[in-house]
Amino acid sequence: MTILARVTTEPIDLAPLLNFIRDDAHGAIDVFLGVVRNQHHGKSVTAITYDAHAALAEKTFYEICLEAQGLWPKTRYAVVHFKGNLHVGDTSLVIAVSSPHRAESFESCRYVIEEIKKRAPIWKKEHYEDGQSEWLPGHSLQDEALTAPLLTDAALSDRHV
Amino acid sequence: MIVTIQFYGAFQKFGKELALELSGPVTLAELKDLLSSSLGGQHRSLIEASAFASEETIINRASVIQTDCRLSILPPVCGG
Repeated sequence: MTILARVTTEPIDLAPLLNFIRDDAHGAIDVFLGVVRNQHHGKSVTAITYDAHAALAEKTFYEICLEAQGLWPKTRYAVVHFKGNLHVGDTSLVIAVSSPHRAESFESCRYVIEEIKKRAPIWKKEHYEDGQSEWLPGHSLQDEALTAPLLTDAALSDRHV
Repeated sequence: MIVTIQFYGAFQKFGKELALELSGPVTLAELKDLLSSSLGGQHRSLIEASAFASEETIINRASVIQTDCRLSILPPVCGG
């Protein structure tokens, strides 16, 4: 197994993710942390609530990492996104990549975060110092809905309400 | 036929989910119209910008819903 993809409601622990991607043949590890910052568009941010369609988000992370492995062979990935409430300075996302040489780690890590921003079903609600809060606008998944498989009754047969 | 739509992100202000009782098959475009009628027309632009998904995949917007099911409506995403 060379890809770990998770959505979690627990604080993200970096150590096991680094252990997962370590490989004796790999000389480079690149780690990206998404962290809650204290301002956005001139507003003072105190916290962010993250929501996620967990199963689909994990599947999307996995697919993105598979794509990255196609572009940068022999890379290993650990991607974990938090779901729930975080304060300024807390970690919302970890992307850890290992590769034989540094260039693949840097480039593939950048690829993964940019694709997650566009494709992963995750949303954030910012909470401001003045007591207001709002869900942030984002990237529509309508393009994916144009090319996605057609729904069939069989695909829904085990999910009747 | 009952279609249950689960809410995420900006749709959470309407609760966790909404069950729509339908008289027959509907396209996803028709389902968006019905949802807009239920939630209020002021939310139409958000609904139009959203996609439907099953538990494991985004659904092609040309799909037709023909049976009881549970779907999710996914507003524009902004993870990270």
